[in-house]
Amino acid sequence: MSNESQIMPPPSPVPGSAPTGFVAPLVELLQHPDRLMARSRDTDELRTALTLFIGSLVCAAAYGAASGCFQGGWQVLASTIKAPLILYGSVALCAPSLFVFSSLAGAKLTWRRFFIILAGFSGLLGLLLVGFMPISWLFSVSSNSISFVVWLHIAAWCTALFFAGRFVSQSLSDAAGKATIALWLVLFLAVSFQVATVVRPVLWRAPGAPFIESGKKFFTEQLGSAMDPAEPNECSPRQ
Amino acid sequence: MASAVVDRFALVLGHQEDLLLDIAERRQLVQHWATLAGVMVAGSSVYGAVLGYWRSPQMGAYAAIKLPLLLASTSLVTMTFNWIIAVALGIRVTFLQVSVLTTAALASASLVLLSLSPVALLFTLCAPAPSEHARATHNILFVTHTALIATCGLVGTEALWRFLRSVARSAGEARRAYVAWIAMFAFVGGELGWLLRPFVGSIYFPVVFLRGEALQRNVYEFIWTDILRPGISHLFH
Repeated sequence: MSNESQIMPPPSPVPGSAPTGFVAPLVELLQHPDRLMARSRDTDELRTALTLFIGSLVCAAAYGAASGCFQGGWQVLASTIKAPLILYGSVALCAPSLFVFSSLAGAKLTWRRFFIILAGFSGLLGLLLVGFMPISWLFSVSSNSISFVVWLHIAAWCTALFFAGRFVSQSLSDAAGKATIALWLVLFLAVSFQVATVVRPVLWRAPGAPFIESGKKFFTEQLGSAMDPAEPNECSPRQ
Repeated sequence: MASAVVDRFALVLGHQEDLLLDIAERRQLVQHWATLAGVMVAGSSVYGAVLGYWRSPQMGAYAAIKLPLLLASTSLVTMTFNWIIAVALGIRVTFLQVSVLTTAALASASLVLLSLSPVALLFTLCAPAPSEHARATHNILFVTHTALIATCGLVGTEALWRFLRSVARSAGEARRAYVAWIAMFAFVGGELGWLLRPFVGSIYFPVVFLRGEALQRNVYEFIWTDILRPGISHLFH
């Protein structure tokens, strides 16, 4: 018996009890995303939801810091602040449409349950970004091409969005339909690009440029200028 | 007050099955109609304000009035046709049922528009300011808003389809009525939208509530004489 207890892994947390602490809810979200939603039917999971929101904030800030290493210096701090702004700005702007889209498609949502779904969505986005953080840091410190790192961040963001979107789709128990969620994710992607354009520059700031550039711009134009080979593409980071 | 507003929105969002059942069983039709009309006006008015805001706040205020007006007038003009065509196809519905149902579809569409208003506002605020050089921006906004409103309108008709499927004797009968209703709504809505223009606000004209030449020719004449005929002539010469 004593041998057995040494070999067997520790028992997994009972699905009925909410994980405590700061890290456990995030780990549970990553490993068993269904448990949070299962519990939310019977118990008040607002505390867990708040932890997930704060966790996603920390994760996004960490990812932002790694991205800021492209230029280094004060831009690390600037990107640390701007990455959570992009995440939360997009979530806040797109939350009403998710509620209405899924409700009209047949999902039975309460405000509380919707809040938990949003927390799970943000939490997973943050966790996935943390997964990409070392890769992002590596290419940020070893590349001078802004178009390359922009593509890298877009790929990381789209991948994170795919998994977070899958959580939303599963949480709505397919009642809302996969097409509805896919449509919303496309909207979310476009909005996040636009929010990133609003808070630009995120990765590289010209000497003497303000923290947030003024002037109106669509994200297509901003992406175009980052990708356009005709424009100066090689920055001088870490100087 | 706040809970009354939430209840109104919930009727369209969360309790649509109950609403459709009430319509089918002819319960509280007038009360439902009033609630749905309120939701329709509130939702489309907010989106209208965002729609016109790019040109100027005054245009935003005009569009906040004109978008609900466009939806309400389109439903008013098409209602009789919708009822007659449904009855002619063998679907047993009363005029009041059709009117509540049409308003329910528009209320759903308006709620989707309302939920997209923060996103539309973000893009509007980020768009280059209106000037004679901002023609492309105006056209992009115009096409995007038109596509969004049309898509939301189609999403709203989901309620119509579910109702027709529940009361029609066959799927074919329901489909014919549904297609006829949508086609007529698009046909009349297109003309009324043209008549009530501008919504986004042209960069070449001053901000007005209605254009002076609004009644001079209809949208289909315009499409034929200004777009299709020159295009066809260009192709064959």
